[in-house]
Amino acid sequence: MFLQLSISGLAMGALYSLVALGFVMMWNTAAVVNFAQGEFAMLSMFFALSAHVAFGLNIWLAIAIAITATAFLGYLFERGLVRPLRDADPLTVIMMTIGLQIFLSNGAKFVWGTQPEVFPTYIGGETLSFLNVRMSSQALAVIGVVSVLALVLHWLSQRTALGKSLRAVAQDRETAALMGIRIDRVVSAGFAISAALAGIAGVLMAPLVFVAADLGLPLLIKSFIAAVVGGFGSYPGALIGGLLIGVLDNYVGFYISSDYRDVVLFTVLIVILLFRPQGLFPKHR
Amino acid sequence: MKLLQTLKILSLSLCLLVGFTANVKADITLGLVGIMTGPNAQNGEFCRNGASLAIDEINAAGGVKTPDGKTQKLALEVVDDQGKPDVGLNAIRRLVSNDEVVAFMGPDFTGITLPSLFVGEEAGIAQITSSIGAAITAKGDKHILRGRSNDQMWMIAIVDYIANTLKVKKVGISVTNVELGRSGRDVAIQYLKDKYQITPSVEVSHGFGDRDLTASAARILEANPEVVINWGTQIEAALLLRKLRELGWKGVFAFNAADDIFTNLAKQDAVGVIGPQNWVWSMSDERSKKFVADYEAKFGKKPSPHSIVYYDGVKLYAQAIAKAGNDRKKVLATLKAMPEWQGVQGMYKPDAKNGDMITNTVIIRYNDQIQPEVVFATK
Repeated sequence: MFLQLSISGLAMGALYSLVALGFVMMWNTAAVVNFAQGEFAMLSMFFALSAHVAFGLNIWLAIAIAITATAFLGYLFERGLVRPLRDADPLTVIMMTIGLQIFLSNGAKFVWGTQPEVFPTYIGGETLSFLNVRMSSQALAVIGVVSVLALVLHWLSQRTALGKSLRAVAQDRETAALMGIRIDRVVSAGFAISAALAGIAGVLMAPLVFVAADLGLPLLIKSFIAAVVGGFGSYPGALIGGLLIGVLDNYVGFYISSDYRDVVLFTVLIVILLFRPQGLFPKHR
Repeated sequence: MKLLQTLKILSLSLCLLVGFTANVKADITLGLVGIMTGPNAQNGEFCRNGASLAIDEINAAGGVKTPDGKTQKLALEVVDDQGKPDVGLNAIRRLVSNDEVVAFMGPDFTGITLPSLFVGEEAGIAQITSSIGAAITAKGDKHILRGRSNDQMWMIAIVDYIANTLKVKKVGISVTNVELGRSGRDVAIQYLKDKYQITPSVEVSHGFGDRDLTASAARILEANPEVVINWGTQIEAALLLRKLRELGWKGVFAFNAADDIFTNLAKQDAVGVIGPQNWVWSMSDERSKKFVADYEAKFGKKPSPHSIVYYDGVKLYAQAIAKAGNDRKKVLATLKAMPEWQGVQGMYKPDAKNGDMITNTVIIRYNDQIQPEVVFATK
């Protein structure tokens, strides 16, 4: 059962990692903690579901549209809400993102209702069995996709002009501007990528859970804890933090009780903040 | 003096006007509070349709003949609670403050009914509810009548079915960690122990809103009970069931809310799931068959277990109004003095002290076409 719990935990944890990566990217590019990140994932699910069910589009096309729409939402978020508050107090920005989270969550309820919906499985549909572990092909695919995405993001960051610009802005905004980097454009791109990561997490997660308007906040909480535990600002930290949270969640639920999962997670968060606030894999400068 | 005289004349005129209006009024109004808008509007639609069908039948037959010799048609005033306690409270207040409303039905959600009971109690107006929360009739309110079996009766029926019909010895309990789940678990554990000397081989709980139920499913799998009794809400139940099947568990899943919402989510996993209900459209008795046929002819779909409560509720009220007239307090008194009344759902006992008029419970099992079949019925 230990292996089952571990691998199942990695699948959910991979999703937390994706959302956490988005957190970190927004923080690194614009020093914004986006409490609506979970809602971007939730909206992506609904976009894909609506495109597939209501408009009859092929599931893969629907997914592509959903991710693109979510990325655009991230861009609009930066242009419309973050940029005007660029010089404002950090607390103001935080309150704005909290307000956005509430707005998007209630907006989704108003548009799509509160009844949960089934999202069709689009990667296989069978249960695979190996090494005494049973998992749906969709869940295994999550681990695979996130692994590939992590490599792609690493390549983007290290080998592309955009990636180098994002790193430059994260390290020193003023110097980056002096070097000719268009800060506003880079930050907008960063937000779009960050939202797209949440969007990808949403469409990967959708067949595993039921699509509902209240999914955003629980996803946000776990991903945020993952980002902090891993090391806020660190991409490897966000990745590993998410995986750790996913696996820990399962261990606590099985060996202790599901009632204590959140208690343990928050205890871990508090302990990390008290004794190692830079996280387990802090960002290297 | 002149002012006083003017006031007297005006008051008299007003009385005459009201009296005149009252004399020409033809309808007796019943109220219905339910979810008419919002995401759960389908629930309210089933309730309203059941009531409307009954009213149409009564009016088509001429109406209700009251003790004063008049034959009057019934009318239904529907108010929307939107599935929210605060909105429901205001809706009920509005309904009850309308003196023309002789009696009312609803709400369906226990969370709306429970905190608003005092309104009907203070007004002395009969209220037939479809809410299943046991606490509703435990408070001692004299005006409340429940039109179907409650959740404790459902749990007892499920346990009886599992022990007597399925004859299992190894039972697991799983609950969504909300009041409904916890109270159901307590009833199940106590009843299993007291009547059948069965201790659950595993007990798990999960939070309301949990979406990853791997840990709960793994614990159940390790204990491998023959039956899992799951008490809680539909999303978590469907996710748990899916995970259990994925992990290879082959036992029977018993669930308190195995309704359309659940089967819509669980899809093929719902095959073989059993669950308690007050009534279901596939009942084989002639009264039920006729009701289902009439409902389907009028509304184009099968009725829900709620529809029958409101259908029978209107017919019961009509009976009481025929004896008592359209005075709400007299209608309530008449109901409370009625020892028996045969409805489609079964035999009601409106004079039941706590207000639980009917205890009929069925156990349904979803067949390969995910249609409910009745496999057990309490007497």
